[in-house]
Amino acid sequence: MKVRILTNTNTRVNENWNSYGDINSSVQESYVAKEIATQSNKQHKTNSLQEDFYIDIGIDIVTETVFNYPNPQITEKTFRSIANKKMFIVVGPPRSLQYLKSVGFETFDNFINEDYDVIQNPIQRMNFLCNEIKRICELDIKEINNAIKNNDDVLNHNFEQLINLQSHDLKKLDHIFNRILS
Amino acid sequence: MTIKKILKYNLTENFLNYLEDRINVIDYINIADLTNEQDYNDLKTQIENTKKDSFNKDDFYVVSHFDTDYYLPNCPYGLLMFNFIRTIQEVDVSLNNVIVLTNIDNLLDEIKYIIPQDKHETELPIVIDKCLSICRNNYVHDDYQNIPINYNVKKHALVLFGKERVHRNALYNFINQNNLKEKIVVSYRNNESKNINKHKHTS
Repeated sequence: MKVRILTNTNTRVNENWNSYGDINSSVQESYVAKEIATQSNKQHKTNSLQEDFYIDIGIDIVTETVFNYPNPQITEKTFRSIANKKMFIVVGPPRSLQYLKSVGFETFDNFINEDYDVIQNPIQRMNFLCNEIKRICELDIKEINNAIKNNDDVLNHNFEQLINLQSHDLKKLDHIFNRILS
Repeated sequence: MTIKKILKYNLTENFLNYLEDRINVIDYINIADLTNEQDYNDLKTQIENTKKDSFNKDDFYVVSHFDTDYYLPNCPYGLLMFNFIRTIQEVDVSLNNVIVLTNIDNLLDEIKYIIPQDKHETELPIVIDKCLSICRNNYVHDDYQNIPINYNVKKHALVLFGKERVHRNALYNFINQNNLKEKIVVSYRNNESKNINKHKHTS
């Protein structure tokens, strides 16, 4: 007896959250800013975590693979921020920051309003994120640099945590395998 | 360890070596490969061909669950995981012989909705959650260059959008409509194949 549920575009929840057009999500042309276009590699590469065009920016706005999704999905996009020692905003599923904290990373709630992380409704979360990004962009660049100074211990901590992530994962697995194989 | 194997199962070489040192891997299964009925029929054949009459305690099917699943409204579990578990049940392999590696944090809760409650003590897979570094596509390693923090940045922010998605379109349109490209360095490669000659550079 086969009891499988076939998947289709309607079951891809990530792309259905704005079907009534509450937010303008119409498709735009591709665009590459000169700061990236003038780099030797012309465009960002998903398999590289450290890029020259990170150097002069304050905050990385990470648009994760999914946004309307029941579980946090942290990918290389967030790790790229951490490897480059940048503050970040995660445009992703709810609880993404909570998840990062649960595996030892820290975030930037002394400068960025991170209440977006608990907003379940995707329209409300996107509106909140957009307003927060606009607020940050209205600040003088000196305030961004001050925030970087105020958070340099967090940036260094996150970098160290990333370096140690592989050994942490292997220790966790050791613990589990020791238990199930004993 | 062959490159083909590393790519197919989306696990790092270090981790594949670690696994094969610790357990007897009967087979690897990548949930992301299971998208249509034929895939599940192939999986069923694959498991039937590899299942044992009796399993040792270190015999396991290793399942990679790092890609996004499909969900119906108000349904608490992903459809790919549902279909995978039903297939395992069809071929009468105990879920005790299945290890699921995932990057999400509550997969076992989802699976419990698929398995009858009276089997929760005896018939659940081993789920290892929050596995972030063993997924090959996360490119996590321990050899990053320790770069100095820049306390004198010139731009407020950066967005590397990547492939087109609804949430990326929404944010990109907001940035455009509010003239924020002077403050935010933006790269959006949506429809790149269609618009290959239409890239604009800021002046």
